[in-house]
Amino acid sequence: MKITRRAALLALAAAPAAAHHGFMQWDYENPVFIEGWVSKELDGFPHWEIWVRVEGKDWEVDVGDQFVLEKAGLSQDGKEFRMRREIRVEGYRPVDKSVLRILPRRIIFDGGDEAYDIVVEG
Amino acid sequence: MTTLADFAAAVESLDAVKALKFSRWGYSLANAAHVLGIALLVGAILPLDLRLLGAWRSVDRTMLARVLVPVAAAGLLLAVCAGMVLFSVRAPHYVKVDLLAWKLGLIVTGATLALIFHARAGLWVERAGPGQAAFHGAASLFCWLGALLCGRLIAYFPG
Repeated sequence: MKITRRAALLALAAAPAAAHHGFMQWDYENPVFIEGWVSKELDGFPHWEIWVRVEGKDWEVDVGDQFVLEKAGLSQDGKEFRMRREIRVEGYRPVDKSVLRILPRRIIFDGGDEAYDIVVEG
Repeated sequence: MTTLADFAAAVESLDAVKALKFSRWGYSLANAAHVLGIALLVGAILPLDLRLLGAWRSVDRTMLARVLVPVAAAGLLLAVCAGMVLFSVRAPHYVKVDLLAWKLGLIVTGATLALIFHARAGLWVERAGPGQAAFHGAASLFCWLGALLCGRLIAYFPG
């Protein structure tokens, strides 16, 4: 039947793509932190991410959404994430360590006093 | 391409786009409109393509086309407009996503083949011969289902 043959061809075409970059899995066994400065301000939908420059490389920090910011006590326009502000992000890295990304659990600004807990539910 | 990157950066820096990035209703409705457009397009084109390939022979093909062609066209228009809105919020990133290039290629191919088919066989494809109908039915299925798949995979293979 034409339909199943076409579906099989599409699946075969997708296989090399899957081998190249898998779906994001987080390494919850090894909590880490990065320390650097905000290299790109908070961007909104779809990912609500900021970028942090650590030793010359930019790391992506996906906050998730507006509600996560609200619960953490951060403002929804990202004014705390000023360009070049010192920041420490504690969280988890992807299992694939070639990806420079952090799933944030705690964000600390300017070396200490201002700390925010990032809680993602559900 | 420097000019593509420049264009993308210019789009992202528009005031309306900046506002959209932080608009819960704005972004989510654009997303919903995109899904609705795809639903109408694929929901209409799939039965029409299957009819072109010989399914439901007792159903009058021209009458079926009179309903499904306008719905599919409206769905495509809605999906493209909403898609441009969704694209704008991360334009510099999206111009580098391979899956999006494939998706747009499939959309252009599907739309071009559809225009050729209608130009030759009529608005309701009433003049289509069996070979012509089978070719365009199969090609249309490939393009629109392929575009749908590529579009959905973007979130899972960000690249």
